[in-house]
Amino acid sequence: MKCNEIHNHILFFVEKQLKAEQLQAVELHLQTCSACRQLAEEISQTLDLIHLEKNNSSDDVFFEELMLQQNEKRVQSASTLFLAKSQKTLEVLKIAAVISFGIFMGVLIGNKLQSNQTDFAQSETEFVQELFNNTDLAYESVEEYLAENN
Amino acid sequence: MNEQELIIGIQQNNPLAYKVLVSKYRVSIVNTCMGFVHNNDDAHDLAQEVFLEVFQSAEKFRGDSKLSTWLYRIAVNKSLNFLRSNKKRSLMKSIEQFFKSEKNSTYEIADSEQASAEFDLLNSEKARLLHQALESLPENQRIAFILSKYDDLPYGKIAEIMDVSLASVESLLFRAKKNLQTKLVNFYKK
Repeated sequence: MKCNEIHNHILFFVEKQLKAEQLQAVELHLQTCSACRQLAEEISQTLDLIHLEKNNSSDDVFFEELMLQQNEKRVQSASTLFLAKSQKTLEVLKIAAVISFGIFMGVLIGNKLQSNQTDFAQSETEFVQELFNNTDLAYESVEEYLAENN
Repeated sequence: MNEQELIIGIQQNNPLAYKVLVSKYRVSIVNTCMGFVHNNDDAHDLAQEVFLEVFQSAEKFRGDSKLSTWLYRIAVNKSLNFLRSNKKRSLMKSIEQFFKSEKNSTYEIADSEQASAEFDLLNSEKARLLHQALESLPENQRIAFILSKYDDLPYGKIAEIMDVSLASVESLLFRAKKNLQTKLVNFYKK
């Protein structure tokens, strides 16, 4: 195998995932090629860092912190629920107030209009009455009027 | 406590069930998150979020999959969301860490612990390369690789978590390793 071919298998060699035939060929090459040996070493060290990153320690603080957060969330969700409920109640009250105000205003305007109309009708009757009283019509019958005009 | 009892316990807010679940899966979930975020504090916080979500949505758990599968899925999703929403923050952090590590190494060298400092520097350089190579992988390949390497999960379990076939997992892992190999070889050949 040449160096380029080795580079195509080197990670699988490090991971011990090569077939026996390929493994033998790579091993043979590495015995004579220091550059590829160095490369295999570098890749192996790089992949080994994964094991260093892993967390295997026992951590009691983790559970305590978690429970604190869980309690905080519960309190938070309870207060959010209370707030949401109060907000809903407040909204219902607001709507009720708006409707009551609307009804009150409607009644008020209606009354006002009705009294205006009564006043107008009254003054209109009085005016017609007055007009009628101030003319000859009050003393003259229709027949007399027609006979006079003919 | 078997899995069914554990689920019922969590659904009933039983603190003992919480404790059993956490002690059973904490290390695995932290490692899964670590595979994505490569930062101890972030991985720790994410793992806590995973457990909190499990506690809060346990009632919705129908039992279609195993509890562990559900946990891993939440961990993967939370980690990916974290990465998506924190891309800018991560960039700032890495710049900060870069300058920090330079300062630390200078200090260590001044303390005549040259060998250890060199080792740290080499390792941090290798770690940076590994993280970059992992981040450059397509999402599915990255998930499969992290579950396999950071959690040592068998292919069958990875298939279950990712909801794909066993053959797909094999293919994803093969392609992930090929891609990593290309990146690492290109870097070290220079």
